[in-house]
Amino acid sequence: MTSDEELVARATAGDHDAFNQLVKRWERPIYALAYRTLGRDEEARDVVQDAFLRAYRGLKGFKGEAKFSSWLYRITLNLCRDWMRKERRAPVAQTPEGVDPIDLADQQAAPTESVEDLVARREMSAAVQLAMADLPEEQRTAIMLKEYHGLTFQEIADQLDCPLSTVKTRLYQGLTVLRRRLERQQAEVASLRRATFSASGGSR
Amino acid sequence: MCDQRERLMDYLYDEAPPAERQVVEAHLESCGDCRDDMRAFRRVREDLLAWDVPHFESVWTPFAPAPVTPWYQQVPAWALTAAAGVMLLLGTAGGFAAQALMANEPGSPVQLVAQAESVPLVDIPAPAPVTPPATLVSLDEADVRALIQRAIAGSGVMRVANTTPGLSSAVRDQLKRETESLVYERHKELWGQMNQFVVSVQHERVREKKEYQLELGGLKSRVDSLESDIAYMLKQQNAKGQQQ
Repeated sequence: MTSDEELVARATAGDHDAFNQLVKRWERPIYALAYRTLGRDEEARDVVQDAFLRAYRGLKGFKGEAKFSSWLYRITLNLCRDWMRKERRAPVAQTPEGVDPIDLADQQAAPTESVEDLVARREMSAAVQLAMADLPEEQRTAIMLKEYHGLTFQEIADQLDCPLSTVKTRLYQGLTVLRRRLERQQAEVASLRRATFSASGGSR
Repeated sequence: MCDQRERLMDYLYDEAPPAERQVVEAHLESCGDCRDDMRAFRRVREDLLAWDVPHFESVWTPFAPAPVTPWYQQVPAWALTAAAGVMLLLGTAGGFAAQALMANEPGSPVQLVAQAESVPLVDIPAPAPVTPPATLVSLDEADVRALIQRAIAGSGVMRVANTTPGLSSAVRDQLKRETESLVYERHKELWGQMNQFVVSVQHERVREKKEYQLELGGLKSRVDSLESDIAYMLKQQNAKGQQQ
């Protein structure tokens, strides 16, 4: 597979197809980063488009000191920050409107996954999304770059312009907060289930 | 509380060198709090995997493959126009000169015929006396083109006429036809190239305009955001001032 560096060099020399390949390779991770940062599908798609347009325009200024993907992540995070600042909004946990999660799960269950498992996974997905949305931005970004994009501590430090030790502290603090929130949510869900079970006479 | 945060993170995310790992493992053996943290963090990491993102369809419209840029698209329009004008002038001059060059003698096909006297030319300085060649000289297309090229390259057609001892009417007709056809073809080609050039410039301008509009939109929203930030800060400042 052609390396990013090679494609960047070709794209800089005017090869549009090389840039198309870079987009194809990176648009999903960029969308995932934007979506998890903003919590909004439409806006995340806009950010993806803007990020690649900016990258295209800035190709000549990209000296290749960092990885192309790191540069792209930085552009994306800046765009997300701009959007949040402009809209004065915190990231939201977005759930489909007017759709019963159980119906949705029924339609989406993979052949090997029971509807109950899928509902549990979706519940957990929503719980994580809510817990992440409550984190301070620096902690949330550090956790996202580490957990979902596999960046090293050093790469995250470069992205966020902060010392290495700060990155580790942010991760530690973020994980600690998430731990408490998720444990509390899971305890609440368990107690709700117990109550439902007792109300239905223990028939299920 | 144990102050091993950074080491725990190195260990959790597998970024600790082997020696460091051993140190952390030894610490975990003896420190219940850190052991508990480590277990909990691993659970959180598993839970984090559950966060799905919606299905994503590409929003990118791929760029069209780069066309091979013909040389004339790299030349400024004014230069092309000037070149076309010069070519037209030279062609026309060539046509007139060729007409003036030709003697009214019949002959076939394309031949330079030896003549005893030089051809009188209109508006041309008196030709130098030349010795007419004794034999027929064949003149093919390449020769005609070369003749025209020489005429175009130098100050030209007239000089050729001056140095050419005498031409038959067949050569004259042939030369005239060739000159006209060359001028016509070249003219047509240049017009085609100029049209393509104009169209490509228009496309480029439309594309640039779109890009600038996008950028302008971004800048405007940035300015709006800054303005509202400033307004908010001023409000806060006023509120503080009033309190004091």
